[in-house]
Order: sequence, then C-alpha cells, then structure tokens
Amino acid sequence: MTIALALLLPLLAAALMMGRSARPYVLAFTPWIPLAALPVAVAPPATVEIDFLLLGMRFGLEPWSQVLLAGTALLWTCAGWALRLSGAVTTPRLLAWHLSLAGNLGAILAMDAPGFYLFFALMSLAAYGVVVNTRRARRAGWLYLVVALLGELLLLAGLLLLTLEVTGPVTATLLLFGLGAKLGILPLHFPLPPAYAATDAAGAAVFGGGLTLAAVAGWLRFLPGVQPQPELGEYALIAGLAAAFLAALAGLLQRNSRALLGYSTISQMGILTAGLGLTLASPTPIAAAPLAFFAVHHGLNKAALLLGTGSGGPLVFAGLVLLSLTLAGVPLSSGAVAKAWLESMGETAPALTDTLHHWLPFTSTATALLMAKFLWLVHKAPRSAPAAPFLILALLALIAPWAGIYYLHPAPGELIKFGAAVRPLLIATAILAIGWPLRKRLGRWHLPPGDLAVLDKPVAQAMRKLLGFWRGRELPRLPRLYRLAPERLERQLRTLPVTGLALFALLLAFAVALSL
Amino acid sequence: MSLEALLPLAILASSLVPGLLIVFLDERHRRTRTWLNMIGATLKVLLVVGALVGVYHGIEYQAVIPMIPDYPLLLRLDPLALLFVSLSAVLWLLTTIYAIAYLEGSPHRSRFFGFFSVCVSATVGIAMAANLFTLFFFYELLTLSTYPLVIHRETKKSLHAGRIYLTYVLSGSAVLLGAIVWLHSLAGPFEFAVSGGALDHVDPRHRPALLVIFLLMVGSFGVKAALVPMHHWLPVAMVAPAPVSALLHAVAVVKAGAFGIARTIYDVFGSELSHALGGTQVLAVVAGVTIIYGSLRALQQDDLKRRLAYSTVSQISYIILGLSLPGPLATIGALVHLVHQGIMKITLFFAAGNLAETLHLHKVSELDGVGWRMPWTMSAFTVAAFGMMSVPPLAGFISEWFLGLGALNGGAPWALGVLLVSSLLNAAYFLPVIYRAWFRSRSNPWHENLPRHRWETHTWLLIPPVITALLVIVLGLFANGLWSPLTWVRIIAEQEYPT
Repeated sequence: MTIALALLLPLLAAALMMGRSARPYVLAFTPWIPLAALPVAVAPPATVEIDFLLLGMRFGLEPWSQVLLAGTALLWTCAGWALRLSGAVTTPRLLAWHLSLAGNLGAILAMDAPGFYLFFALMSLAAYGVVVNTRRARRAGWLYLVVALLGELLLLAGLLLLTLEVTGPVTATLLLFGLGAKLGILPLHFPLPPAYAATDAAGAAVFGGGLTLAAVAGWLRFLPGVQPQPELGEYALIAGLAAAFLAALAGLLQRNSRALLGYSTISQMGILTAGLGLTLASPTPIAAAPLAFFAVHHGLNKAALLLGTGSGGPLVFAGLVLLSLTLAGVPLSSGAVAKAWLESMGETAPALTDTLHHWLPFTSTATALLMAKFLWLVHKAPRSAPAAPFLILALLALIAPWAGIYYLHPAPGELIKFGAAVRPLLIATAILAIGWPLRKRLGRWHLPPGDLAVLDKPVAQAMRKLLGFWRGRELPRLPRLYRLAPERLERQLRTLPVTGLALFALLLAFAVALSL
Repeated sequence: MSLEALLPLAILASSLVPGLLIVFLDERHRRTRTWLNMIGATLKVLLVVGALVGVYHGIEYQAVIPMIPDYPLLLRLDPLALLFVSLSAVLWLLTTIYAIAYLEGSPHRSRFFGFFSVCVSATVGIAMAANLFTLFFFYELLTLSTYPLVIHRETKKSLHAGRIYLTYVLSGSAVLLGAIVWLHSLAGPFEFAVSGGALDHVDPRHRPALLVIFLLMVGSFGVKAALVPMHHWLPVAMVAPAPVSALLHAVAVVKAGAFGIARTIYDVFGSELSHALGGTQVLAVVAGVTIIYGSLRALQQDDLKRRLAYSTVSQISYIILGLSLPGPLATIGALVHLVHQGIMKITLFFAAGNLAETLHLHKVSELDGVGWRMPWTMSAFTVAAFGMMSVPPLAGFISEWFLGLGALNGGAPWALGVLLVSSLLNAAYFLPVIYRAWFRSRSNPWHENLPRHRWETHTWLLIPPVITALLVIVLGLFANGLWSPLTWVRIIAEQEYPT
C-alpha cells in the first residue's frame, strides 16, 4: 500500500502535467512528493507481488535497500525544493523530473528483472529532460543519451541471461557495465562532467545523487545472482582504483565547479567499483551493506555539494567545506567510516584485499586535493540561488549516514579508526603547501569537461559520412531485372486486365495440377 | 449448417458483404456508406469476441466449402488464427473511423471503402485458412484488393507505385503457387496440423526437395513480408493515403506474409522438421540482415512516411527472426510481436497522417515544435515510437524480452545482438522526431489545412491514434493479465511445444 503510494504519487504528478491548470500545484508539491517513500524505507522490510503487471512484478526492500531508498527520498526532496525556488521550471522539465523520480524510487524497490529494467529505463530516459533545460545543455544531453541507451542495452542483455539462469562471466560483465554507465565506470565515464556542468544545481543534484543510488541498487540486486568472478572482480578492482586516481587528476584540471564534481563522482564511484570487484571475486556472497552505505554517503554528500554550487554566502561556504572534508574522509566523518567498512570486507580474496588496502588510503589524498580545488573554484564564482535547500541537505548529508551505519553494521564502533584516516590527509596538506606557490602556472593547464567527449564531433561526422556515402544506394530492384525481358511483354504486364487474366490462368493451372 | 461452421463464415462475411455492397453504391450516399462500414466493422469485433470466448473454452469452429475434390475451402478458428483475426478486426474498426474522416470530400470513396473491406476480408480469410489452397486463395484476393487502394489517388506516382507493387507480389505469388503444387504432389492433400507438422508421412528421401519447397514458400511469403532484398515495393507504396499505409503496414499485406511464414513453419512443416531441414537457419540470417538494413535505411530518410516504411521492413523481420528460432520463448516473442508491432505501427501512421492532413507536414525536418501544436497526436506518436524502441512498460518491450530470451535459449546469441543494435538504431531514427516535436520551437506560422475545431484536428482523426497508443501502454503494462495477447500467445506456444 505504502509502496504503491510512493510510486504512484510522482506518476500522478506527471499525469497531472497534462492539464494546464494543475501545473502550478504540481510545482508547489514537487518537494514533498518524494517524502512518500520515507515511510516505506523505515517500515519493516516486506515483499509485495503484483501478478498482472508487466511480467509479474515484485516490490520489496532489504535492510541495505531501505537505506538507499531513504537517501534517495531525502535528496530528491531538497533538490525539488531548490528546483521550485530556482524558477527555471519549464513544463517538459517538470514532467521529466517526476518521471525520473518515479523511475529512481521504483528501481530501488523492484525485485524482479523486467520490473527493475522498467523503472531504470524510465529514470534514465526522463533524466534527459532534467539535464536539457537550456540550449547550451543540448550537447551534454546528447552525450548522456548515447551512453545511457548503450547502458540500457547491455543491462537488458545481462538481465535476459540472468532470467535464463546463465550465471557466467558474460552476464556479470554485461551487468557491471550496463549499470556502471550511470556510475561513470571507465570508459563510459565521459558524459558525467559535461552533464553536471550543463544543467543547473537542482538537476545536477539528482543526477549526482539519485541516479547513482539506483544503479548501485541494480548491482547489489542482480550481481548476487551470478557466480563468483575472480577475473572480472580483479578487473573491476583495478579499473575502479584507476578511475579513482585518474578522475581526480582530470578533475584538478577543470575550471567549472560542477564539471569538477562530475569527475569527483567518477573517482568516488571508482572506489565503490573497486570494493565491488573485491566482493565479486571472493567466493562468499556479495557484501551488499558496505557498498550500499558507501553509495548513500556519497549520494547525499554529492547531491548537497552540487546544490551548494548554486548558492552563495559564508554559511554555504562553511557547509561546502564540511562536506568536502567528509568526502575526503577526515576522521570521525561518514566518509572515513564508509572507507573503513570497505576495507574490512573480503578477507576471502587475500591478494586483491592487499591491493585495496594498499591503495585505498591514497584515494583520500586525491579526494582532498580535488576538493581543495573545488572550494577554490566555488569561492570565486558568483552565485545567487536561495541557500535553504542546500543547508538542509548538507545537514542531512552530515548526519543521516550515521543512522544508516547504526542500522546496517552490527558494531559500528569498530569502524572508527583515527590514525589511519589522518595520514593521507597530511600528505594532501603537504602537497597543497608545495603546490600553492605554483598555483598560477598549474592553473593554465586545462582539460575539456568529459575528456573523451571531445571526440563527439569527429565521431558523429565520420558516422554521417559513412551513412552519406551509402545514401541513395539501394539494392537492385525487381522491375529493373525484369527490364531484361522484352519491353513489350513488360508493358503488357502493367495493365490491370492482363494481370487479372494472368492470375486467373495461374489459378486454373493450379486447379488442373491438383486434379491430376 | 451448425453454429460452429457458421461463425467463421460470419466473420468473413461481416466485411465482405458490406464491401461488395459499397462498391456498387453511388458516390453521393455518404451516410449509407458510413453506416454499412461501421455496422460491418462493429459486428466483426463482436463476432471475434464471441469466437475468443468459445475457443478459450475449447469449442472448434470449422467451415468447409467444397471446391475441388480433396481441396476444399477450409476455414478454421484455431488460437493462432484468432490472434490474427482479432488484430485485424480491432484495427479495421479503428482504421475505418479514421479513413472516413481522412477521405472526407475526396473522390472515389465508394471504390476505396469497397476494396478496403474486401482487403480486410481477405486478411481474415488468410488467418482462418486451414489448408494451403485456402491460404493461397485469400492471399491472392488480398493482392488484388490492395492494388486499387495503393493507386487510389491515380497520380503518376501512385500508378508507378502500384505497378511496382504488383510486379513484386505477383512474382512472389507465382513462385508460391509452384511451391504449393510441388508440395502437394509429394505429400498429397493435407490440412494444417493442430500440433506439430503435417508432413510426417512424407518419405525421408524427399528431404532435399522439401528443403527447396520450404525455401520457396518462405521466400515468396517473404516478398509480402518485405524481406531484403524483396522489400523494395514497401517504401514505394507509401504514396497511398495514410489509412491504407496504416492498414498495409500493421495488419494486411506485410502481416499476411509473416503469418504465411508462421503457418509454413509451425503447421505445414512443423517446427521440428523445419529446423531439421536447415531452412530456418537461412531464414534467421535473412531476417537478421533485414532488421539491420531496414533500420539503417530508415535512418537516412527525411520523409516521415518513408522512414516509417523502412522501420516496418525492419520490424516485420523481428517476427520472422522469432519464428525461425527454435523453442517456445522465440515463438511467444514472434507471435506477440505480430500483434504489438501492428498496434504500434498503426499509431505511428495515424499520427503521420494527422500531421500531413492537418498541417501539411511530411518531412522530419519540418516537425520543430509540432508537439505543442498537436499534443495528442504527438503524444500518441511518442508512446508508439518508444514502444518501437522496446522501452518498458510498452508493448514493444514485451516482444523484445521474449525474442531476446528466445534468441539466447535457441542457441543464437547473435540474434540478441541484432535485436539490441536494432533497438539502438530505432532510437537513432525515432528520437530526432520526438526531440524536434517537443524540444524545439517553430518560428513561422503553421500551414493550416483544416478549419480549426475544438481539438487540434478533426475529432475522428484523433480518436483512433489515441486509442491505439493507450493499447500500446495497456498491452505492455498488463501483459501478464488474462486477456492480453501474451497470455493468448502462450496458449499457442504450448500447443506447438507441448511439455
């Protein structure tokens, strides 16, 4: 019942957009609609089956997905509030907003493969309308859409294989990349920074927060269905760590604060991917709780940071500093706890665990440097949007993960390690101190947002050329072949009576043939 | 004559009789013509509903009209026949409503509606045919009754299109006739099998001949189903009025070809023999090539109707690909797509017709901002186009899901690849239309063709696409419901592959 309400409310809002007079009310209620999912998230986990829908739908939650759902609902609420205050709300955008919200909540709630695919696709496609709110955003929207569609196809293929109970490496790879497309998994990462940069703070917030949570929910929902994958797990671990460092480096070369945060998402999700690789490689069941917790901590934090890029003032800047520190994992922050929990899992794959233990602390160094650059960038940019939604979400992002950790972890105290968390940050401080005098020279270096995305025009041109080369060239036609026959006969065939007679003769021949 | 025999004949007559009456009706009797059309179309839907209930409860409806010794005209309502009959009946009713509004005030309306009804009768006849003779008889009736519809406008272009159409389909028919005669000379008279094949009694020595016959039959049905390289007539036939294109692409001609292939594989040869002969493997590859080729060609068209036509070339081969793969899942996917593709494609053509008729828009590049001028039409178009891209929860997703499962289950993962690439290409040629319609705006005033009504266009032009678009949603969202095509198709698949 509550599940139905949580999913139907945004859909109802989308449907109401059809009526001109209802639109102002939809806008007014936009922040409150996601809150309907909170009762579902805090109620005891239960499963609902609706047989007649699609191919038989099943909705429900486990402890880890409860936490994901709660985080999603909170961040959509604050982003919705910021959207309403921003005034930049066109009808298609508000429609896309509610459809995307319904998809996001549904993807976390759906437990069957077609149902998940339904909501995930709804979210992905509608998110295009959330991004493209200005002319400037068209290119970013196009990049996003191409990768999103590609991801959908990989996901569909993976889910089909899973439905047929094929649980080998192919299925796992398809799911990893199909869903990873939303998380900026290498090499499908390039649409994220341009998309964040092109849209406004509210749109970027749901992009950086909500969409990633749905994709993580998909991983955790369906990857347990495959067998342990040592090779793929190792690849995910290495690719994840590589993304964590490379994206931080690319982010340092950005001049737009939201594009920088796009790279930060790629970097953070790289850490998550590395953790996933570890548990994917080990023969024990996939450890969902630490990954879900990491995703929620990052989702709320990133959404808040993105919202904060829209507003100004000392209070906002203070909030951004706190959030940045949390993301970098200062001691006693949710970021430090999340990383500590990631480190503590997967004792069963020792070689990979060593790799993770070796490199994970340094990701904090990278994040700290990246966030320093971020604070430098927002500090300079003029911003005017009302700060209230950001402040609320920042508060939630700092506090709410603690509720999550006490709910999910049996002994959260074990995860609070002071010394281990300090060292990487000291290194970062040292680098900053050395780099500070060189900041002018280093500032000249620049990487276009979305690095690989600069290839979009050449690739599009090449494809157009390929199609153009082929344009108008049809296969040879049948009448042309007939022209080989004497011209007169052909002209005779064109007239209807002759055609009719010919058919009659054919039928007659048929009858004769049968009676013989 | 018993009631069981009467029902198939009544279903046939409900469109044939009004059709023949209308042909001889004077052009001015608009009201009589409309009434005849509507009564016939409504009656057919009611009869089909009755038949569905009856067949669901196990009643066998069969009518025999003796013609040549051993080869009677045999009509039977089995589940597969009813699937196609219900699709035709529902879409005929909607298309009739649409056509009445679309052709208002244009000449030769009696000829048009007369042949239109005959064309639907022929389609229903093909569906109910229970032996090859009956199938061929109605197949040819369909060819001849669609020709006047294609050339309806009698312009030079449409006459040319009509000529190409006839050249193709009559060539196909000649081959088909030859193949049928050859098959009967080997196997003697037989009916379509209810389960398994009808050729089990044929000497295994004739296997090579059977393979050739199989390929000839499938190939000649493939002309109407627009398999590459025999697809060329379809885009050319686009000059016909929109209701004709709608019916041609959704139910009548191309579907008759696909349906003929279904009958050939399941009820003449039987899936076991078809796969053992190796003919289906060839067919699967041809269908795969057609899917990609059609999509690529669609991508190159600026003319909206031509784009839709090439999309049909591609989509019909989804059905044929599913038919040619072994296993019940592929069968479910193919047959359910027979219905779903029809409903989605007819929506697209209705919408394209509305654009042309109301605002004189024919090209994709002219559609900037049209979504806000004709929101209902373009909403219907958008829903159907997303369905074609297999976006859940729309009808096309259900098809793709089962076709995909069937491809993997039938040991042809490449077929899943083809389907997925085609989905991507579908997105590439449908999304620009949707993008232009909703996300761009128009600067100059619209070229208004019709007087402004209460709605964005003539009400009767608007109702059919809105209904079919709703069907696209409902058939997908409630696919597991009791009265969905999917449930019905599962019954057929169980018959073909008894567990």
